Amino acid sequence: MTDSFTIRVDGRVIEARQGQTIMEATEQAGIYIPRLCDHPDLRAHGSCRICTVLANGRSVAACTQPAEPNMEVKNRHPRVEAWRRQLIAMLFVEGNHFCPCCEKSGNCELQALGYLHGMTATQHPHLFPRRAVDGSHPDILLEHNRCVLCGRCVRASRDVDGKQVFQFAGRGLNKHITVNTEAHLDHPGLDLKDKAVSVCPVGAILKKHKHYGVPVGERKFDHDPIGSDVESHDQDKVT
Amino acid sequence: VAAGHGEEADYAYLAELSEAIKGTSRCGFGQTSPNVVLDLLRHFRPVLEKSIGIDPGNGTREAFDLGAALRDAERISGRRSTHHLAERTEHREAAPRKEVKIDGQTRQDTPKEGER
Repeated sequence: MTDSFTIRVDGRVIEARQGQTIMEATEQAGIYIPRLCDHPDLRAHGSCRICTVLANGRSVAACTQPAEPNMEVKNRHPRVEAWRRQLIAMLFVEGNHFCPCCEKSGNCELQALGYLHGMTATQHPHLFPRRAVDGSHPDILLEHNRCVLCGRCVRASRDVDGKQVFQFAGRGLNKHITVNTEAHLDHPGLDLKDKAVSVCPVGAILKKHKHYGVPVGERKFDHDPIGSDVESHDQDKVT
Repeated sequence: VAAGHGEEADYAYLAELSEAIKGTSRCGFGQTSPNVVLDLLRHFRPVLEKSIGIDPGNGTREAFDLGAALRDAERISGRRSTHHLAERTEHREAAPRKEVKIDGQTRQDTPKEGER
């Protein structure tokens, strides 16, 4: 192919195509770049900044930055990983994240990223915001306390489900996910099978009546750290 | 820090946090706003050093004010914390001890309240 070129990620040469983002190219090559707002089935958002890498010395979001020929990307770099750890730590104090009693524990991407980056305790002062829980939908629970404002549900509902059930409202600390109806979650539009319900990385959008269904030891991140699926995908290809 | 309860580690913490915000922000606000803190750390170090908690002479820093930390709890419970008792004991122990002889044995004795 004429429109393909190579980039270097942490010294490893990988192939990329014109128009691909750094994230897409590395994903294909079996290199995991941590992310929270990005999702392979959704349009990139570039808001969580967890996927920040150094590309030719500049810090950019890997999920939105297009790959360029001979680009030098630093992903597993101490400086970059320290930044990511700070971002994750900040997310933990911004909401009310009590892992031990959370239904999503063990399957939560925020928790898994915390472990991956060696976060052992929260360092920043907790904000302890007061946020209401919306349980008005018969099958779905909206737990604003655990929301990290990644916007996956907003994009999934708009682009995949074609419904626009979720929206962002407010700015800064008041920013929150809102349901696009005056009657809370009990909206005829939102269905259990919607993409918007399954893409939540944390325990903010939960399917009711299914909590704690998977025992400890069998949960998604109990044995392998987050990103292992991407990296093992690469090993499969090599052998 | 401004109240004199700063510690050396606070500055490292502020620097690390500022660098992370600067390095990962999408727009110019985030990329530049930590400069205030970083410049303060870079150019006004001597001023900051002064606001580090005073060294009481035993190698520790008085960064943590236990009394202030317990004030809210004292107000809610309506009684004084037992740490005030500990404070008094400390003062007593800090006072010079005198040796007294009881039954031919030498032992340390703490002076009574009135004797100090």
